[in-house]
Amino acid sequence: MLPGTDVAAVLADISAGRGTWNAETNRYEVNGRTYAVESTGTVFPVPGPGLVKLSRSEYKVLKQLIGSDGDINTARDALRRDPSVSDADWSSALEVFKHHKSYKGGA
Amino acid sequence: MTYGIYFDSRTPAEALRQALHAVYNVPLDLVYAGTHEGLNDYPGPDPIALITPVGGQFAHEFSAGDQLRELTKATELELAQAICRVARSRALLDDGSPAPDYWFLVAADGSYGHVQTDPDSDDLTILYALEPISGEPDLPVVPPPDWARTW
Repeated sequence: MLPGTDVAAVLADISAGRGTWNAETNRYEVNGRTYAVESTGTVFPVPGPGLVKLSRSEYKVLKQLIGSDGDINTARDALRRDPSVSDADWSSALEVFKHHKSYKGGA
Repeated sequence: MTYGIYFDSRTPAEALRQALHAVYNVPLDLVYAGTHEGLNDYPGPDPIALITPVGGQFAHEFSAGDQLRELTKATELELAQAICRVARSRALLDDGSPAPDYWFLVAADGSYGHVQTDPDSDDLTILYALEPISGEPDLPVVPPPDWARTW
């Protein structure tokens, strides 16, 4: 979820009946974004404006970048022998990481 | 493509390594089992698959990428089924839907189906099956209402 996306407001809109339910797709549409619901009642966003879908390897890179407090070289060293991570994963994760508070430049 | 499979904690990591070798002839020194922090100190060749510990009922995180795919020609589900059958284990893997707590559970006989995991747990914890799984007859089945069906 990128900064500026007000999830709490969206959930409040759905609870207040301001979302549009699409029975064919089993999705709510609220303010241009789409959400679905699990059997437990958990609401989750579907990729769209303000939400970037990452593959698990891209997410692994992003988590490592955050865990390394924005030190890109440290993060790269931690994952350098991980066979599930490719150069393309780094590119995608870094694009998202630029929005994180611990980003210090260098991407 | 990548693999991300969580195997049952009751199965030793070594049994998973041996199963991968037995089924797909993956050289044992190319399968690293240990903490992610210890990977850079692994004295062997760069591994093509990792088995790293995480918490919970499914505490072995199996991860791999294109090199393993080229060697095995197996999809993620096919590989999980094969390893579960040989190691008599169970596994959770992504069901491909956007729902964060819907997973495929693969049973020890290779059968599989959707399950709901606990959204309030930090670890992967199964609440119930969303459809019958023949190899897991004791697992409660709670079919999702239509509005919660993502597949």
